[in-house]
Amino acid sequence: MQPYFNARTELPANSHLMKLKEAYFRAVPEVCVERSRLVTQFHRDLGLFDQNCISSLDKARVYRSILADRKPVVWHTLAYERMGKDTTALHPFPIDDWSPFAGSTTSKFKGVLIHPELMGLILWTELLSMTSRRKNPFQITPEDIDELNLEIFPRWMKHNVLEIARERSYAANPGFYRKSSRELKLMQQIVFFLNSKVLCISHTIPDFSKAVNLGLREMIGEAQGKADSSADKSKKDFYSAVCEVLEGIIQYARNLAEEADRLAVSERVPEKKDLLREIAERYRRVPEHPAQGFKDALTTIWIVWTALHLENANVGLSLGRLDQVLYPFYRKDVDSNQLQAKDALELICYLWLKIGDHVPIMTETAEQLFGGTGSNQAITIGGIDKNGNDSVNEVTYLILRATEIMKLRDPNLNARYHPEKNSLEYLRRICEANINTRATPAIHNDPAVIEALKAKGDTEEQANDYGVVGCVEPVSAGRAYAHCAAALINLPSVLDLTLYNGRHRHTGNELISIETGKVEDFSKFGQFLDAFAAQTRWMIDRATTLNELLGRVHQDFYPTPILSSFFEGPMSKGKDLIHGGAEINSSGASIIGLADTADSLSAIKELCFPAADSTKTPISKMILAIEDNFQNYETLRQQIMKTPKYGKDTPGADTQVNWLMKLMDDAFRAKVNYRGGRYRVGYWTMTIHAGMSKVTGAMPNGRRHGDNFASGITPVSGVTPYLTSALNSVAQLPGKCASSGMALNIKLTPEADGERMLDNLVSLVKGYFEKANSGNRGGLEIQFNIVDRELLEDAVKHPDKYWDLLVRVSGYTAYFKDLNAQMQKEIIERSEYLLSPGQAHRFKPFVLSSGKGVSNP
Amino acid sequence: MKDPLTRLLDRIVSETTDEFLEMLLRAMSMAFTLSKSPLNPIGALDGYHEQIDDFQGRYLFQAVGGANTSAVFDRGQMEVLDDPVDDWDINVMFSDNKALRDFILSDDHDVMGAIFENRVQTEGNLNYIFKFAFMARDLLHRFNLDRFAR
Repeated sequence: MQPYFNARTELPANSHLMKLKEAYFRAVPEVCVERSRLVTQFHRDLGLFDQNCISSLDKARVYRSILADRKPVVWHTLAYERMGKDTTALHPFPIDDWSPFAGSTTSKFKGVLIHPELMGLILWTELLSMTSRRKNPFQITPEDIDELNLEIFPRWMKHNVLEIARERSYAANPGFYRKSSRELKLMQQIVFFLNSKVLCISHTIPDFSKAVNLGLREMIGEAQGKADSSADKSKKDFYSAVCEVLEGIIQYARNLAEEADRLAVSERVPEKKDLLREIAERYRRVPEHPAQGFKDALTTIWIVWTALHLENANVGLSLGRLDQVLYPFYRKDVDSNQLQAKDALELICYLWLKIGDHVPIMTETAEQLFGGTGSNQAITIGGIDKNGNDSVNEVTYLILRATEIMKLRDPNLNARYHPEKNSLEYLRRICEANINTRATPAIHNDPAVIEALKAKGDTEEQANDYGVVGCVEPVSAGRAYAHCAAALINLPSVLDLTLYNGRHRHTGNELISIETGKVEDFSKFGQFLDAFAAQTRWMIDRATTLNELLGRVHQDFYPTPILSSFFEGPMSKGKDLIHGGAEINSSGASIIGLADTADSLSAIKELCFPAADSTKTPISKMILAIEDNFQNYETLRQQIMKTPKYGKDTPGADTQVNWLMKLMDDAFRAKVNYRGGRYRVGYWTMTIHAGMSKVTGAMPNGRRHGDNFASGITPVSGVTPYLTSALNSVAQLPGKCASSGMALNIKLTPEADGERMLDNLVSLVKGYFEKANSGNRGGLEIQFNIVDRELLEDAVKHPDKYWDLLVRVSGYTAYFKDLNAQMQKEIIERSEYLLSPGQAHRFKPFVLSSGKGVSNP
Repeated sequence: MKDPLTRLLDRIVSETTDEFLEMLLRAMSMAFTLSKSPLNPIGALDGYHEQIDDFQGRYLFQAVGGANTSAVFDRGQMEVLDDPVDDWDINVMFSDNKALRDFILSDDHDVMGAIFENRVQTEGNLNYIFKFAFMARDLLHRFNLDRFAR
């Protein structure tokens, strides 16, 4: 294979594909009511609103009906855009759609899918203003507003996951009228932790291999056989549920075929007429029957993908190792002269546009936490196969090229690299794609990731076959129902609870957690760490208790027969995923604010508990300083800035990070979830580190109120001027304690000498991955923003000029213009290194205008 | 000469007073009554009552250190009470009327925003407040008064 296979292939700028891409970027998302309407109608018709429990079979009947009844959209003809500075209205524009892939996640070109069973009702308040909101508007028609307001949302007021859980939680406070459990109250206060089960369980990877290789008809045959032979009613029902949803998917594909035939009759452009007839023929073949070639396989994946989104809100549902699934079909077609690489590339590009055809629901305030995020649909390429062999193939390179050409935030590309098994040329190509796109793909170190997964119980084969979920979370593809984002812990809040003996500055004098002693009475740093550890375990108890409550609600009301049909485990166990049907049943937590907390511990140790009492700063003074936001404590702040910091490749703060990671891992590993699996911990923060930082006061590391936390596992910006030191610090961390992934964000200045920069980038990644030391296999992951500050600042001022500027946030990619002001500031202020000397620029802080944020249009 | 409802709505959007909640509830109650009346003189209110025709909901608003106010929706009617209802669906506790106004009406500080800033706390089913906030905003929208928050 050519190492640079198809690296230079261009697709004509005036092609139908590129015109569709242009329309994609112009289009604002449109709220789609269709799914909400149908799910409400079928829940009512089947009497499910009155049931105390909803089985997989009940849900499957609902989904089959939706799939059969939803509008089959072959091509889109219309979208909406904002024109100039006019924020009062959105304007329609026509689309000339030539996509070979019919069907869509919603009925819209770029849609917002509403799941009223989950958090769909959060849009209620903003139905009238979302079209004209300044940032990331949604189009919605007056008729759809009326339908949601009068017909749909009222039916779900007492029937969504959060409110069912709340009703159940009242039992924790007998004797009170409607007093929610402590855990729910804590989550509502936002500053302690979040639990994403109110929103979805979709942080996982389905298994497409059966669907493409066998076809759904044969899968139905298998399920029917098991249903007929099973004496156990629950298993029989589960297998029947699988039959129901697979029949529904087949029906949806047939409806699309019929619609394509219908459109072909009136189509006047001969090439379009031919394409419609080909689509009709193909959609009658797949996904019902085995894929015959590359295009068939892509079609099957696409149609199954749309069905999965009907079942669950898409937050990080990921496509897995597509280069592995698709390669046999590609090889067969190319070898038989039925496909050329350039055509395959174009098909992948078309699929990329389809995958990005929907966005998550987002309110104005949610923008502060998650602003600019897509659905974080990760695709994984490269690395090794189940048996440990090099698995990089020509489709790997085509996917890389498609990502360079399209520059879309969704899908979120992740490249695996195994230094001993994959070629250096492959790594070079990954790095080149990063330079070309400025932000993608993220790069994962196979030996370190596989070791981390095995440490948590995955077998060698399961671990070797990992794919990346959402942002950066590695899970055994199609086997692990991992829900990596089950709990998001704000670690600086644990520090507050420690400093204030169970209280928190955000909530005043109320005792929030447990009293672990007044820190003023501590004589040794070890006592402080003991208190911190106790507060950590308390917080993790609360977060996991809530996860269990929500998980049980999902089990009783929200089984997932569609996803269960495309997974290893449920068919052999006869059990839905939500009841533990998967081979691996873990849950995941992510930790926010690690670097800031570690540096704070370091400063407290050095200044408040020094070896010599004569240099001691009373911890009471430290507390006064943070309460004062250091306004009258500049001398102390200067002392703090000289204490050891994480990221300098020295003991001190690095020791604190190690200690914190082991503490988190131990505390979470002790917990068993409602499916019988264990919790795993990751360090990726999406945009939440920016949101959480807004409600967190000044910290003992010198961070002032409102300054952003460092992202993911990245050291605090400005701590070290040397890139090598930062990488060494991260590479020595205990990777086994980060089995749910880590996001290391490195920002580099683009260099005029592209070849030299590429050489240096390859060396940098290789060195970071191969920096094995006692017990570690080097860094787990690294991701880049290769963009300079000047350009980012210009993009703040002129967002329309940079409409497709991609950036890495903390895991996923986003369009810079879509990010909230706080997050834009965070990315601008990240340490920016010149790669060749490996040194950071010295920049002043970026000032947000109006004290609130840059004035985003 | 503006009608009493429009005058009340003008005040709601133009000033933040300690009477915000009282004014808002009064305006909503008046609007539902007028909308339902066959003699409804205000075209902007056509159909406004439909969103409470089949709705039952009991709201308790508690100002910190201040008065309790309740709103009860039942069988197409809205009733405002100066006393606390004890079997509420949602209890909204707010630090001051500005916080409550932001919580219900402002686009920049929506429902979650006020919680985020710890100025408003709730107990009970959040969907009831989402519905209430929509009804309040809808009323202003019908009179072209919902742009004030920008």
